[in-house]
Amino acid sequence: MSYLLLGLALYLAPALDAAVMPHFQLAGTSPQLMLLTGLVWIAVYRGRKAYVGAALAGLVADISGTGRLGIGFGLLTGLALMMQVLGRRFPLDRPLKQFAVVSAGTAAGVLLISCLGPTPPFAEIEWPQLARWSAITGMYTAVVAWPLLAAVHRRRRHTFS
Amino acid sequence: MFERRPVRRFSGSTLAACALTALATLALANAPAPLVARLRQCQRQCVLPVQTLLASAVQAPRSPATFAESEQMARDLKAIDERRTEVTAAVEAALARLDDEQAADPSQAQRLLVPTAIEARIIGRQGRSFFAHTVDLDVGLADAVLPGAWVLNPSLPLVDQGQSSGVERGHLVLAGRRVWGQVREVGTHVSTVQKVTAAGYRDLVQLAGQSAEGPRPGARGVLEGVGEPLCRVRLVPSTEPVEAGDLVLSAGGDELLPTPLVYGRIVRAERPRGGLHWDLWMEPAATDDPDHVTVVRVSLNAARLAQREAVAPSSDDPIAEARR
Repeated sequence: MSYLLLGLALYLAPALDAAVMPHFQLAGTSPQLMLLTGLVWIAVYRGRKAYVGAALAGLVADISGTGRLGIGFGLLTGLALMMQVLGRRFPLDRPLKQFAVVSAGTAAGVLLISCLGPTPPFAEIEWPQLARWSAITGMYTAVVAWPLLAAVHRRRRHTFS
Repeated sequence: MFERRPVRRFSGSTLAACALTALATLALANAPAPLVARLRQCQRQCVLPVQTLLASAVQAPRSPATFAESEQMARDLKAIDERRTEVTAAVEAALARLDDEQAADPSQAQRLLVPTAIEARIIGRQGRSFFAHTVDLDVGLADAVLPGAWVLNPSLPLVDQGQSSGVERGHLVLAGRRVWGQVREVGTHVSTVQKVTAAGYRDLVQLAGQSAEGPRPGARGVLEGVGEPLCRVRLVPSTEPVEAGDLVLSAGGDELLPTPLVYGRIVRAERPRGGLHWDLWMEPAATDDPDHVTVVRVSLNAARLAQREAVAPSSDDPIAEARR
C-alpha cells in the first residue's frame, strides 16, 4: 500500500511541480515536490524500504528534471543510507527533526542541481544569493511537508498506543 | 580498569548499499544522451494528461462570472480590441512615414552597407515534430530539408529562414522593433535563435536615460542573458549616472542601423559598496514569443552599386570592390 502511494506521489509530483506550484511562489521560489516526496519517505521509513523508496524517488526526480542524471538519485539514496547509519544516534521520531531533514535535504538538493547541472541556471548569481534561494526553497518545502509528517506521526502514535 | 569500547562496524548490507549507490550514481551521470532524452520524453508523455488537467483547473476562474459580468467583460474586450486596432494602425503609419523619410534621406543612398530585413516565422511544436520525424527517417539530407540534425537544438526557438536567405550566425532577430534574440545555429532553411534571456547571450548595449528633451545617450555595457526573466547588464562604470527606468539600446550596430533597437528597460540598479561597476538588471522589451520575427542582416547598398555602374559600367565584382 505504501509503495502504491509512493508511485502515485511520484506520478503526480512532476505534474504539480510544473502546473500548480508556480502559482504558489514565495520570494521567487516554489516547493520542490519531487524532493519532498523522497525526503518524507526517508524521514518516515527505515531500512531497506527507505533505501528503495529513496532510489525510486531520486530516479524519477532526475528523469523529470532537466539537469544531469544521478544528482537526485545520489542525494536521496545517500541521505537514506546516512539516516540508516545514524539511525540510533539521530532517530527521526519527532516531526520537528523530520522537518529539519526535509528542509536541509531540499536545500542541499537545489544547491547541487544548480551547481552540477549541464547548464547551471544560476551560473551568474553569486553564492550568497544562491545559498539564500536554496535555503528559502528548503524551508518552504518543509513547511508544505509539515502537515504530512504530523499526520504520519499522529497515526503511528495511535497505532502503537 | 580500562574498558574496551565495542567498535561499531558497518554491516555488510550497508556497505553493499553504499557501493551500489555510488555505482548507480556514476552510471546515471554518464548515461548516453539519446537514452536520457528518450526517457525524459516518455516520462513527459505519461505525465502530460494530468499536467494539462491540473493547469486548466488552476487557470480556471474560481468564481463563475454572472451573465451580466460576462456581458460587461465581452464589451470591455471588444473596446480593448478596437483600441488596439487603432493604436496598431497609428504605429504602422508612423513606422511607414519613418521608413519613407529614411529612404528619402540622401545620406542613406551613399552608404555602402545597409541593413536588410528578412521576415521569418517561428516554427512551433508541430513543425518541430515534423523535422524530428524527418531526421529520424533519414530523408532530411536527401531532400536537403536539413543540412544537419544539430540545427534541431530542442531548447532553442526555430525560425523558418536559413542560409538560403542569407541568414548567418550572430544576426539580430527582432520582434517588431525590439530585439528578441540572435541567430545561434544556421541550417539551409531553418535557424535556431538564442533569446535575449537565454544563458550565454551577450551583446554590446548602450543605456539611455530619460530627460525632458527625450532619451539621452548614456554609458555602454555588456548585456548578458542568465536564463532568467531578467538579463544582466555588466561593465557599466559605477561613476556613470544610471537609474531604474533607463532604456537599454543595442550598440553593436555601429551606425549601420538608422535607429537604435530597444532591448529593454533597467528595473534594478544597485551600486555595490566599493565596486567599480553597477549591478544592473534589465527587463526585456520582447517578453512574449511572437509568431513572426525579423532577422536583420547587413548587405551591400544596391542603390550605391547601381550609381557606380551607371557612371562607369564594368564587370567588376561588387564583393571585390567592397573588399578594396
